[in-house]
Amino acid sequence: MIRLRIGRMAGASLIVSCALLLVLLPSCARSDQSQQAMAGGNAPTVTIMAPLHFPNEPDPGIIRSIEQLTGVHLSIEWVPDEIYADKMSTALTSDSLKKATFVKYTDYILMKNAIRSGAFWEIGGYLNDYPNLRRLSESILKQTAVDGNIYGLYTERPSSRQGIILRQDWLDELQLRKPATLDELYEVLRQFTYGDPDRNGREDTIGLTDRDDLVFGAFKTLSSYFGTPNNWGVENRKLVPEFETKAYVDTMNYMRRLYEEKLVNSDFAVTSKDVQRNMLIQGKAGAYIGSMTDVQRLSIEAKRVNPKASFTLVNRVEGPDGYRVWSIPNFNGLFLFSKNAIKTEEELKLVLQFFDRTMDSDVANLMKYGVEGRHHVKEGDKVYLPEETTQLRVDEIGSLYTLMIADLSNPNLMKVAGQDPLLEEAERLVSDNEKFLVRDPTAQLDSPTYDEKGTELYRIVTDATYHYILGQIDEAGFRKEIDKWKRAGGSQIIQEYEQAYFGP
Amino acid sequence: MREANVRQGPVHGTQSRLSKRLARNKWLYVMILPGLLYFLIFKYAPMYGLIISFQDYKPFDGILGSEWVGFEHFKRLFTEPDFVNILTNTLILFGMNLVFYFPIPIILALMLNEVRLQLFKRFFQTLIYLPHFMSWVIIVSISYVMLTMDGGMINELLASLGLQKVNFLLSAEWFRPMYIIQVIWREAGWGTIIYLAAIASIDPQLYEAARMDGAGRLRQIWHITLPAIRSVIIVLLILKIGDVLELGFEHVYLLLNSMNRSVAEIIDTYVYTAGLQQMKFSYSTAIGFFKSIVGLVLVVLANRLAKRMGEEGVY
Repeated sequence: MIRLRIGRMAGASLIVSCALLLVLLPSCARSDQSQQAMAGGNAPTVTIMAPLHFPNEPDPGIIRSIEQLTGVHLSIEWVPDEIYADKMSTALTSDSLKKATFVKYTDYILMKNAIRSGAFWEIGGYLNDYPNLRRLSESILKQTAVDGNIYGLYTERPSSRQGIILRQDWLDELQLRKPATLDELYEVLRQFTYGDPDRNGREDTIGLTDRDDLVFGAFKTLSSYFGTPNNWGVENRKLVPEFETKAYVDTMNYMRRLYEEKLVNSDFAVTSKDVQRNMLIQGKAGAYIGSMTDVQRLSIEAKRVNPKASFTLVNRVEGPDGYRVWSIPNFNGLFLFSKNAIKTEEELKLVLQFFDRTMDSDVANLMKYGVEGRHHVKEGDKVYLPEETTQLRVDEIGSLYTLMIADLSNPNLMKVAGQDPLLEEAERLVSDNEKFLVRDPTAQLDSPTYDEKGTELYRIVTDATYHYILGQIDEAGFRKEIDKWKRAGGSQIIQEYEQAYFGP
Repeated sequence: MREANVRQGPVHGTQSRLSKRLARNKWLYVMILPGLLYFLIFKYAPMYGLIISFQDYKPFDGILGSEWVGFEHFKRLFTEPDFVNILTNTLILFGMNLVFYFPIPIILALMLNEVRLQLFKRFFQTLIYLPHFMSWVIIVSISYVMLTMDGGMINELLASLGLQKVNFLLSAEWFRPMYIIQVIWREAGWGTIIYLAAIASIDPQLYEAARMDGAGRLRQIWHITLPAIRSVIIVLLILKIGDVLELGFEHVYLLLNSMNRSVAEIIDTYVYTAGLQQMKFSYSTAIGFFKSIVGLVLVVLANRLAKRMGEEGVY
């Protein structure tokens, strides 16, 4: 009997202690948090989830300076960019979103349902209370709106950074000019492949290095040189998807020729961005079509392999319709404010206050240019970014750029004086792109069918495009796939966009 | 009255007997508790989540707050133009697994069993277990490097022999052979463990007797080893069929690309690309639910078949 009772008591105490443990664990975590807040002088905590585009997280010293300047305790979860979308959707389902969560514009469409169900704070009404947030661009905010309401603070990007990065020394070696038309570009790529530009006596180079991405790889940029509309074209009271235009087929034919003549890496349909960059860096390929501002890092890495490598940029390639280049909406992503993480209006105001503060001169310049003397040098009212500090800036502050709200139009930021000539050239060409942008006419339109399964349907087109380029189907086969797209919901998308564009 | 008594009597009886038995074996029950809890917490409790397949689930509204939509998601799945294709792909890969992969560990185990030199046997065993511990990412990357058109080993070899290069990675025809070869390479060695254990438990006297009767090696395998491990083979076969649709999401997803999607898209990858990536949680759950039902049906059928053949089965 006694033994039995002891057993029972032991069992009971086990259960009690388990329960205690369960109760204590979260409270431990909580006291830990408040301790951290204490360390920051009783500062409120701002939690943020943001993508990491660089190999390193920002330097903890810089984060501490930002905390001191803004008077908050920062807890930032940096997630590698490649897995960001997965991580974000996991956070959304498991109710573990941070107070501020970054959402890329390409994933924004996925969040619309969550936004409509009220998972995030509507912040449109508060913006006017803050000196910096008040100045956010009306038109960009409108592009980000869902059903007319504003939910996010946007990070600003130039409309189009697309262009061609070329090996200057190869061009010189082969006595070629920078290509100005599509035919000249083809000729350059051909000679890069068969003209032995690295003079090692072997045919071991290719012209173009491309990857498994029809949008941010070479294809879409080439297609806009050919005159393809940006996603949708408007032709007399009709909206036409880009892949139904003749220019799109012309682009496919061009790519097919590059593939058949082996001027592009044969496995581009399964090539990752790393492998693609590496081919340029290692001197296996001579041209890269994509974001021109990548040239700086590509050039640094290529010079480590071959000190003689030098690069140049081309953004004006004339096609049948003159100069054209596709553009993104002017925001590249948004910070959304979760109602689960931010319980009260007061808390929301604190978070907005923080973001407003990051746009002030002291914090904004620190985030963008780092510490004077270490990352940059002041020259009058401008900053000078010495080439020797490039790597240091990439390692210690580069990743902070994701946190900067509307930095391009922020007057508090210092101008840059005499930076790396390649990067300067890239930025000059990016602003030159503004002169011949092709906008997406549906950017601000709503199509419920597109929201529901647009991305999934688009895969039909992507697959068909690859099949065509690799010569597995002909134009009739391609049309058949487009018909499949239409039957599976494409026609509905066209109809819905037309209704939204032209009115009923 | 009598009826009531009859009904009450046994109930009361079993209750007291049950509590008596609980008291007597309480430590046994305590010992089984962790296992029981594991199944309750990690296997049964999550099934609660299945109800979102009948809802238009929105994370912010939670499971209880989301709107009910009945069989909407299942309807969408069955009317999806690619549905038949995806199901066929899944079943074909499964069939290839059964036909090409399943016998190989058995054959390997039989061969290992015939090796006389113990040292060699041990060494070889360890060697063939190794691939099992490599992740699919590594295996697929190695194949990628070997098979790429831009300087891959195999293609260079073909070229040096004067043959046409083959674009293995981007072809629909090569996907299935590539898949099954990788599965065999990784799992065949590991799969032998259970067979070897079963073979080890065979009574050596049987072999002696067979030898006395003049049976050669092959005869011994055919008449002693194989019949002795027959029930193990059947149990593993049923378990394998239970995993029918577990073809290794990672593996197939890593091999999947635009050019081989027509043969490589299976239910698991479809759940990921059409469901989870698009944040369609209800739809994903519905597909997963459907998959589990197919698996369950197949296991029940296989088990029945095994019993009809006079074998034990798994339950």
